[in-house]
Amino acid sequence: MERKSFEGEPVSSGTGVGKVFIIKESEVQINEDLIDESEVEDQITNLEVAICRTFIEIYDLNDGFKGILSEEENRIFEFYKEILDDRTFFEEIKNLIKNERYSAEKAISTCIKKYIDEISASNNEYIKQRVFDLNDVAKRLIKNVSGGISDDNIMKIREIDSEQIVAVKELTPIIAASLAKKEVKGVAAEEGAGYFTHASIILRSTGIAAINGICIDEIERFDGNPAIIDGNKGILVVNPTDGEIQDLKLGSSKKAEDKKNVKNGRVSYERKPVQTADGHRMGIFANISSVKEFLAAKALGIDGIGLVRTESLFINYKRIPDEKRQYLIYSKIAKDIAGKPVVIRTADIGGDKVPGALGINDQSLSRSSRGIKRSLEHKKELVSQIRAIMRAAEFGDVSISFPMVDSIEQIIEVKSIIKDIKKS
Amino acid sequence: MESKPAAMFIQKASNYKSNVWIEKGERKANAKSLLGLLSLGIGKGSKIMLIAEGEDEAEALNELENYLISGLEESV
Repeated sequence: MERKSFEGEPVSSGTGVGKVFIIKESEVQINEDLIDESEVEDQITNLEVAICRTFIEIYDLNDGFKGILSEEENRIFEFYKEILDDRTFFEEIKNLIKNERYSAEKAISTCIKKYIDEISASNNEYIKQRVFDLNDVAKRLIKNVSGGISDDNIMKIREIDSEQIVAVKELTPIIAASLAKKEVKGVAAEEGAGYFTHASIILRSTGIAAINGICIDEIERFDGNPAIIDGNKGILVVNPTDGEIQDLKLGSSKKAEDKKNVKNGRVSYERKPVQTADGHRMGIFANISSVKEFLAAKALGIDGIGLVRTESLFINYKRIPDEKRQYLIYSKIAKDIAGKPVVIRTADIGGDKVPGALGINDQSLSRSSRGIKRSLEHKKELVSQIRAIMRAAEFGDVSISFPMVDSIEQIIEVKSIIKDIKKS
Repeated sequence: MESKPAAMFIQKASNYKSNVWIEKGERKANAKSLLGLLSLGIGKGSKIMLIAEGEDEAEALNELENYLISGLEESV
């Protein structure tokens, strides 16, 4: 078939060769008819059931992505939950059902559209991108109002394998996370994958090439055709020439080989050292929240790990894992990075529901303490973590850091813990 | 105000029995609603008015004002 090239905004770097797989929007049917007074109560019940169903859906998805997404990326699900928990919003929907005699679907879509319009007018790029999340919430609610009919997209996503480049009409964070989990070769979206969207953040952190702003209708007829994607240049080429595939493979085969070596943990990735135009050498360090991010960062040939957010690494566990488990993770990182520096930060937990990545440092905000203060209140936990880090230090250049220190006493106390461990 | 600090603010506002609103320009939103707050498009330096009405209104205004001044500054 004919060769065709599509251009989009590059949002996640990397390249891939695979077969095109199309996900088109599943059309949401909205009942535009006004309802009878006798139906009002039923429609409100339907709405409430839909909220519950959507809640459960989000919780299930959230569980499924634990360990794949970092703590920060898991915030995406919090946002969904906060929307579903917005009582004012649901009062407004109920009022539309009661007073305007709208069906539940129509009330949801009318109400969310009002907010989407207002938020789209915002001049804050980050907030603007939340529109895609809101659209997804609305779609899920409407789908669940109409009896939870099976979602075509979810069915389609099941068919995807790692040999494909996925072209999607509207990328949502949840589809992005599913594609990251499947380790697809690349993602091309018509919308929803702008640089500041949750979706593109997920793809970047999991190292999947992605472009945004292509036209899905034009690509649709190439479903199943071979293609190459270049997330650095922002291009998708269907039915590429052998030469194009070779060129891309030459670039990526070296990477694939290195990836294999990385998995064996023996050979490290060699790249030209980073330096300024006048030859001044600069160090590039990555902060990581998951082993997956560590592997992605290492593949880029970074100079070391600036920060290991241990609390995020442990997201899979109900409580902080024991010393042995921690030791295994830390020593693996120290070994794998082959002598480059690694800074491991002790767990920054606390502040009730406040995620560590929130960056709000207001003690009055949460009644419980966090950071090193909390750790010192849970000394046993802290001692075993420090011991695990110190043991892992045998395998590389490992340093330790402590979160949210606010007094000299805290430093004196942790230093004495370190001294005691050294003695024992 | 981005979604994270906004969500924190809502948690705080929801602790009070009083009705709480935030007014920016001609628009007013329920301070316990995330969508409401996001739609106001509050940014750094925005002039907003905090309104509370109910049995614990004085306390609510005092605490929430403090939070907006101190807490949000730290998060920016």
